[in-house]
Parts: sequence; C-alpha cells; structure tokens
Amino acid sequence: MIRFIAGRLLSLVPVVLGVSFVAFLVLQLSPGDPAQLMLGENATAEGVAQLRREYALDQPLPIQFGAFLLAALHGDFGRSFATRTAVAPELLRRFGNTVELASLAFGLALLLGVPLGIVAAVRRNSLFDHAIRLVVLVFVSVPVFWLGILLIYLFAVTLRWLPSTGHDKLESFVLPTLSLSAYSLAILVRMTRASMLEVLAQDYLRTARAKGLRQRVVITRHAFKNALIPIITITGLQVGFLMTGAVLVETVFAWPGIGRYLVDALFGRDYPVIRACIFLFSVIFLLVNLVVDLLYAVIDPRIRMSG
Amino acid sequence: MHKRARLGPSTTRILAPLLTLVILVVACGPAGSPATPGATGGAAAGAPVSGGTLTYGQNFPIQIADPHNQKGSADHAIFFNVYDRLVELDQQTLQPKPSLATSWKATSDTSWELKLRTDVKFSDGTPFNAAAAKESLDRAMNSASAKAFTGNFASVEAPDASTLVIKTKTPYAQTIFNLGVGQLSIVAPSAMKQGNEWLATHAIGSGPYLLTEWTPNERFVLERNPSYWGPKPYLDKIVIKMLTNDSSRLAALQSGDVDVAVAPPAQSVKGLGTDANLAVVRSPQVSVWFVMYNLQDPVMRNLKFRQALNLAVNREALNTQACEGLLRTATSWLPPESLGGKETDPGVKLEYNPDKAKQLLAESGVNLSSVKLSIVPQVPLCGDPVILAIQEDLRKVGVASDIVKVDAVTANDRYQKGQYQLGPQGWQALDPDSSLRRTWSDKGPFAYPHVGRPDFESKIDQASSTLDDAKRYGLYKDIFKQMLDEAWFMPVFYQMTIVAQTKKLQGIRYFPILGTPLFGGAWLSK
Repeated sequence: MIRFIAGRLLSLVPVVLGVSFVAFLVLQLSPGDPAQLMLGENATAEGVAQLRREYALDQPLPIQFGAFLLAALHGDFGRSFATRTAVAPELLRRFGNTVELASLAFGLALLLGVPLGIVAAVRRNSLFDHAIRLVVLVFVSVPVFWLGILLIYLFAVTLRWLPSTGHDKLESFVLPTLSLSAYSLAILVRMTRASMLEVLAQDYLRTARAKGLRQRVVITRHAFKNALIPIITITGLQVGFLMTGAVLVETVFAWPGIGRYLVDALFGRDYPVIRACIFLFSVIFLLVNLVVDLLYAVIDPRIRMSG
Repeated sequence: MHKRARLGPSTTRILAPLLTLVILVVACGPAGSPATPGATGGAAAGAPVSGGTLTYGQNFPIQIADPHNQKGSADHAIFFNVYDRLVELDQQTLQPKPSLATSWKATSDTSWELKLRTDVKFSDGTPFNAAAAKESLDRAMNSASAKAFTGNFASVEAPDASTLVIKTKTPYAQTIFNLGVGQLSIVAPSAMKQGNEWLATHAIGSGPYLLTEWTPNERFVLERNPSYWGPKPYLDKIVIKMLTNDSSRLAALQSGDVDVAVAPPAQSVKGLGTDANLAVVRSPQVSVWFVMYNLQDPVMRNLKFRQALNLAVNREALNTQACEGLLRTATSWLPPESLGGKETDPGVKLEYNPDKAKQLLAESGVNLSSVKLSIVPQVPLCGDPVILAIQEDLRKVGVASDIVKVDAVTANDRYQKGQYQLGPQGWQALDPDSSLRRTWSDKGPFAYPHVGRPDFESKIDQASSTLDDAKRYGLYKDIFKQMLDEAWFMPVFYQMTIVAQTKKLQGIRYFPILGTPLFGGAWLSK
C-alpha cells in the first residue's frame, strides 16, 4: 500500500511538468503580446520593448520554462503582469476562498444528494421518487449563473434577507453555496439512485432479506456499500470541477476565487498567473484521483487484494 | 409484498408544467425593485453634510495603486483621489488648471518653468517640494507605462524648493497638459523608497483621501485625509467593491449593498428611472467609439467606397435603438470635452443618406457581389446589437459583411496584422496629439488603420511642436478635416459615463477621462 502511494506521488512530477510545458507552449503560440497588453492603450514602442526586457519575455522558451521551474521549486511563481505583485500569495488566498465555497457546496450536495438518491431508489416510482427526479432534471439543466442571479433577485433584492454579492459576512456564503451545489446535488442523486437500483436487483440482497435482516440493515450495510464505487468516482470528478473553477458562480457573486483568477488572467494574457494556476490545477486533479483510487481500495476488499 | 403508492403518468403530466410555471413566475419577477419601505425622502439638494460611508460598485478591475505603473482603466479611481498632480485638468475643457503647481510658462521652445505650492504635505507629514516632484516625475519617466506621456521629456530639474524646470527633447505644446494625467501623479518620495511592490498596493500621496485597505479584486477602502491642503472632503469613507458582472452589480444597487453601480446595462436604465431612490447620471467621457477601416485593404482603399459606407449607417438610430439614447453621436474625431475638442472640430457634416451611398457605391467601381467585408468588432458600451445594426445598414445599401467574433486580444492582433476590413472599436481621445499618435500613427505600436502616409506623420509632428494654441488647433483642424472628408473611419459615438446611484449622493463628479469618480466634493444627504 505504501509503495502504491509513493509510486503514485512520484508519478505526479512528470505529469505536472508535462502539463506546465504544454501550457507554456500554448501561451507562446496564442495571439496577443503580454507586454503590450500590460500597457494597454498607452503603449509606446519604447515602453513595450522595456517591459519585454524587464519580464524576460524576449528570452527563448526553454530558458523561460527553466526559470519558471526553478522558481516554482521555491514556491515563487513570479509577479503578475497586471498587478506587479507576487502571484503565490494571491494564488493561495484565492484558492482558499474557492475551497471554502466548494467544500460547503459539495458538502451540501453530498449530505442531501446521497440520502435522497438512496430513498428514491428504494421507493422507486413513488410520488417521492418522481418529485426528486423532476427537481434533479431542473437542477441539471438550469445554467448556474441564471440560478445565481435568480437567487440574488429573490433573496437579496426583493426579500432583502441576504447580501447580494461579496465575501465579507457569514450570510454571504448562503446564496453562492446554493447556486454551486445545485448541479452536483443533481448528479449525485442520479448516480446514487442508478447505482442503488442496480445493486437492489442483485440476488444476494434477496438472500439477506430471506435471512431475516431488517430492511434498513439490508440497505445500508449491504446495498449501499456495494453501490459506493460509482458514487466515489463521481465525487472525485465533482470535487475536481468545483475546486478549479466555479467561475460562473464566482463572477455572479463577486466571489474572489481561483476560477475567476484564471479566467481574468487568460483574457489579459497574464502569463505568470496562468502558469501558476495550471500548475496548481494539475496537482489538484492528480491528488484527487489518487485519493479516489485509495478510497476504492478501502471500500472494496476485492480491489485491495488484487491491487 | 406491500403495496406502494404509484405515481401515475397523469399526475406527472400535471406536476411538471406546474413546477415550470412556478419557476417562470419567480424568474420573470419585476425588473425594478420596490422602494425600501419606510425610506426617508432624502433632501434633494441643500447644504452639504459631512460624514458617512459611500459604497461604490466598480465594473472594471482596479489592478494597481502605483500611478507610474498604471495598468487598468479603473486604477485612476485611486490615483485621482489619493494623489495630486502638478496641474488639474478642467472638467469641461481639459485645459490645465493650477493644482500642486500654481503657475507655469514656457521659457524657451523646449523648456517649461513651473512654480509650486509650498504649503502642501504628503499624508505621512513629509513635505511636498520641487525635489519631491522631480523624484516622482523621474520615476514616471523611467516607467514603461507612462512613456506615452513622458516620451518627449528630456529632464526634470528642481533649481529651488518651489521651482520646477521641465526640458523636452523637441518643442512639445502639450507638456503641461500631460502633467495632469493620472500616470503622472505625484508620489511621495518616502513611498517610493518602499519599493515597487509596496507601491502596487499602498499609497502615500497628498490627495483628499488615504488608501487604507487593498484586497485585490475585491475591496478597496479610501478614508478622508485629515491633513489635505484643499477643501475638506465631506465623506468619511469610500468602500469600492469589485462587481464585474453587470447583473449582479445592478442587483447589488437595488438591494442596497452598494450606493453606486457604474455602467448599468443600457436596457435596465429605463427601469431604474422608476425607482424612487435611484438616479441615473450621465456625464461626458473623452472616449470615442467608431468603425476603423483597414486603409491598406484593396477594397477599403477605394475612396468612394469608404465615403459610401459613412453615408450608409444611421448613427442616430443606433443610439436610440441600441443604446437607449444614452450616448452621443460623433461629429468628428475628438469629443468636444477633450483638449481642443471644440477648436479642432472641422464642422464636416456627417449625414445618413442611403441613396447617396448607393450612388457612390456604383461610382466606386467596386463589384459588390464579390465583396464580403469582414467586421472584427470590439464590443461597444451597449453590446452586440450595435454591430448587428451596422451590418444591417450596410446590407440595405448592398454591401454584404461577416461578423468575426473573437476575444479582445485576438481582435487587436487581427487589427495589427491587417486581417480585417471593418474594425468597430473604442479608444480614449483625451487630446489631439496622444489620440493621433496612438490610434492613427504608423510609428506607434498599434498602427491598426495602416494609414501609410508619411505626410500624415509629419503633420502630426508639426502640430505637436507648434506652441501657439490658435495655430496648433488650426493644424489639427486641417488634419481632422482630411480624415473626415476622405472617410478614413466612420465616426459613431462619443462615450458617456453612465452611473446609477442613490439619490442621496450629491456633488460627485465623474471625470471625463474614463469616467473616473472624484470623491472630493461628494456628500451623502441624510
């Protein structure tokens, strides 16, 4: 097990390196001169040349990449072209904001979604099941920014119960969390329900009931545990998605998160920020995948034995 | 086996549309918000009241507090309230007026002498004097961002504590004007000692407000400067909130989370007018929005073809229909509030005449059936409908076109490479010299129109070095007349700063340059 984890952690390095290098290449090939963008309308030929020298933009690509890696090892991701301040602290701050929101949203989705999915599966085709499936259909189809604006207009503008935007108070968390959790909730309910239905049809459950076990024990100990694998897969995907950019929610609610940080940087060709975000995201995705694989082994002894 | 209640298909058929209806009703709720119950009427005018906190909802990001390394258009909101400049540009004419400098004169063709105030201190108590001004200007001269304004400065000397001498490389009429832009704000030497990274998020200036909080991309706080040398500002505190999404910024205003929302979407302005607590303020901005022509393109080189295009588009209709009448239609290159805007207007009549356009098209010799103009737009203040309306107006006179939608940076790249025929876009137009050099000169880093006329370049140089105002304005007038007569571009709009704010807010000025808010004279009535 230890060797497995160590091996996976080691393989992180070449993957992150590769992804970072591809990002470098793509930025280099895309139109737009960052030095000129930094100066905007007031750019002069002299000014652009000066900035290119100051930011080492006139260096060949391998040298720029090498410098980036060397600095990254020390936790230095350079200075943003836009704000001229260090990227690393701002990156962490924004990431922290996103993690706050993402954890709350996903926690809500998980706590509500999985039990609802189980009940919907167990009470298949009941009024409850149909109601759940309808709500799920709505949540999966509704664009998240539309939902966000809707919630703002209802709870902030009309009812004045909650603040519309921002990140300052405890109440500020409510609306963004609700908006962000809607899609994940829907996916989790669907996945759980589908997975449970598949398991509920299995023969060994009939055996369990025949043994005289109570329905609740049958569901939780036997059915649910076997249904967990696909749910964990989906959870991993959702966590990755939420961590790296609930951009639309962040934009609508003026939530200073990492999604918007990256998108703004992309539009402004802020290379240091883009590179740092992609570096961070690749690490996150790889770690999440590792955790998911480990959870499989924990849940399912068959995987543990063979792996 | 127990019986479970089954939900028949008929029940589902009722539930689904019912739920949809509920959602629609909630979603399509009233566009404007009801007035806060129990809100006080609020004095319409009356004596200014001291005190209070203003919450300001900003749309474009504020990137940096360091004026000499200015990045975003919204950064000026900090520069103009926390720092002073040697001169202050007049709200209506942009003519330089005394500020930290009390008077100035040209002592030779390339030398200007300014007399400075001696009673000003920076917010940390250090004195403002000629040495401080020199240090600040030197830093600006070394910075890439301010080169557009300091490019012609050769040196700055401080012969004594209240005299500053600026020498230019070549005779430059706009030397004093340039000292009034945000990028040449006077930064305290004590602040400059703290280094570039400190200055990116902090400030020590001599302006009416202090910068007390800087949370990147979120929140910026200004507080009254107790030792300000000018009239005491009324507001205690200004909290600037970053709200880049148009809808949520508007919602924040309507829910009371902010007192001011910059640039509300054009379509929402009418609805805002019915709200008893809110007012929509329109203020001229010295920026222009026009259709640029690629003057090197084989089709666009044709004079009559371009003149025809200029006759084909109904600007007034664009304004009233797409922009709710909020903007102003352009009559020249420079807006009237820019430096010399009125004096340099050649008075060329721009008419909407599709019949004459068709006639000119026929005379131009261009085979219309083989022409499909590529329009690469930067989106205007009122959104995509303006571009579509232009396309439609052109179609009505028989000119087909294709709209190529790319992001702003890629659009600029296309302009630079000449991969476009029509380029609707916006530019600042503060003064004749910088606007011509930036947008039109082939020697600049942009050169989007690809003018390709050396005599044009020498005309720009000649005008900028003519120190006599009347002569210089005459030269610019001739330049603009040629640009308009020969249809080098299609003037469309002069920009307006549009702000929705609480009626309680009085005395706020939106500076013509980029609509920068000047909080110095603003106050909140009770």
